[in-house]
Amino acid sequence: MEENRPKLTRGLFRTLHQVEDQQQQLPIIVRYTPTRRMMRHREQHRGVRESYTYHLRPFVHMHASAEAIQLLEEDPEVVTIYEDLPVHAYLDAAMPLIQVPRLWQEGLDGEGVRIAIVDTGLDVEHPDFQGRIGSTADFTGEGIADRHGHGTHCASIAAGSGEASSGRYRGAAPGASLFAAKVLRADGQGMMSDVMAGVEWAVGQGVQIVSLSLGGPGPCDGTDALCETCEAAVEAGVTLCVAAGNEGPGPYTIGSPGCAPNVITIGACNDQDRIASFSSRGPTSDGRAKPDLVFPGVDIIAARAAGTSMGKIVDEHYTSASGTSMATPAAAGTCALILQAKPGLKPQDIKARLMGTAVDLGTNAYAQGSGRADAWQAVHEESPEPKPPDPGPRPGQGCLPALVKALFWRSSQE
Amino acid sequence: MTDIDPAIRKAWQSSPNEPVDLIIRVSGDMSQLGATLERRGIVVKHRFRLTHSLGIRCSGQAALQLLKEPWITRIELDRPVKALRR
Repeated sequence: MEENRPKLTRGLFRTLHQVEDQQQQLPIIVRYTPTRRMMRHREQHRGVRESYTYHLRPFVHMHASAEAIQLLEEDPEVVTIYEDLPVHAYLDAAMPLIQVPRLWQEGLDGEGVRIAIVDTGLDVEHPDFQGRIGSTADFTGEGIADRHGHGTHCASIAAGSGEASSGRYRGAAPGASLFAAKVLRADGQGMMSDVMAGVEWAVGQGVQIVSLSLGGPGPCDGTDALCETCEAAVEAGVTLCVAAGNEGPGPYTIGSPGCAPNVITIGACNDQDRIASFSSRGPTSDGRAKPDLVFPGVDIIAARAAGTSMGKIVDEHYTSASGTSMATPAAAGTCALILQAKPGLKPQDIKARLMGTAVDLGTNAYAQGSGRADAWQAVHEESPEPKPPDPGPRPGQGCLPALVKALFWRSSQE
Repeated sequence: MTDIDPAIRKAWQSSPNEPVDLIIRVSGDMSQLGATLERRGIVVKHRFRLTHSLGIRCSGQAALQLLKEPWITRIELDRPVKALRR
């Protein structure tokens, strides 16, 4: 292979060196001169399969073999050939999807609001939390240090400043105060009773929002002790954001405490507004519609606790992970922005705002709830109409059983 | 008398010395009741003021005895939870 190939990007040049099968089709993006005659190239180059022509710039996405790429390089109308690379839903992609940067531009950052992360602990030395850690408590006996990485990741999605990434991986409420209760051990496991203790501790600290990216297996009916604790916390004026779980896409897969009636139960979508297949689905075992809404939770890059290896490591300070765990703190941070803008709101008001302004993704309410959150609308909507999701028939109870029931009722009346 | 799943009762009967973690809801003074339990050798791990409950560890045999206590209004197993990263 020639060393002087100026039209190839360095990444593509490296990839071509590593390809063993010269006929293997590689995804590439070709930049042409502005005067390019489109049809000629389609016919001219063998081994090339064009898949998309862009309109804003003279780019064409295609698949091409190594041999065909060499032919493309010889084409005088080809300027540059790029390798098409996978992209991730960075925090800098997830936050725009839910319209959080518009609120930052308006001066909202969660300052003055207290968020508790009840999880695997916190890396209190991480640059993204400096100067904003209120207090911490350990209920595992291991100490507050996050030896798993999950709690630190979640905390930065809610309220990381993005300090170690020049603001790129900034969480939803980078001005909020963080409180951390460690209730899950280094292996990411724990007991309901420790979570209950963590929630109670957070309420005692005067936090306004609790983020719970944890839970047990589904289904559940919302009456167990952990659910009751969450309900009591909501009654005490604290907004609880709780992960729906990762047992989807089957129905009845939301576990405790995601099934608690008055918490905000969060499912996950990707940055193309598709519901993540893993995101747990409702209804609850007693037939209530859950989750309440969805937030981005696929391939989210956020803070990495020192010395941990959770997720796909990006660099010393950041790692990428997926789950309703990652969607939930985005909701908690969004709640902080809403509370900063409208301090008098009660947990049920915040929930109604989020649900009433969510973007309908056009899918089953047992998967999306009211839809994907829009933080800007949730803050600015004057009097959001309560928009309970219309779940339709429960899974396994289509229109035929309903019709049979109606006919039976009618005949019993006659 | 407090209800419990018959399968759980059976497990406690067949392994009376095995430790079990429970969450019990109580009526009455929580600190007094906690002290009563501790005098019986039961470990009180948490006192939950929001739900008037206690997190305890005891033997299966002790758990069977607790089912008969009139000041205990509900008993459930303390179950595992986990971080919800996929």
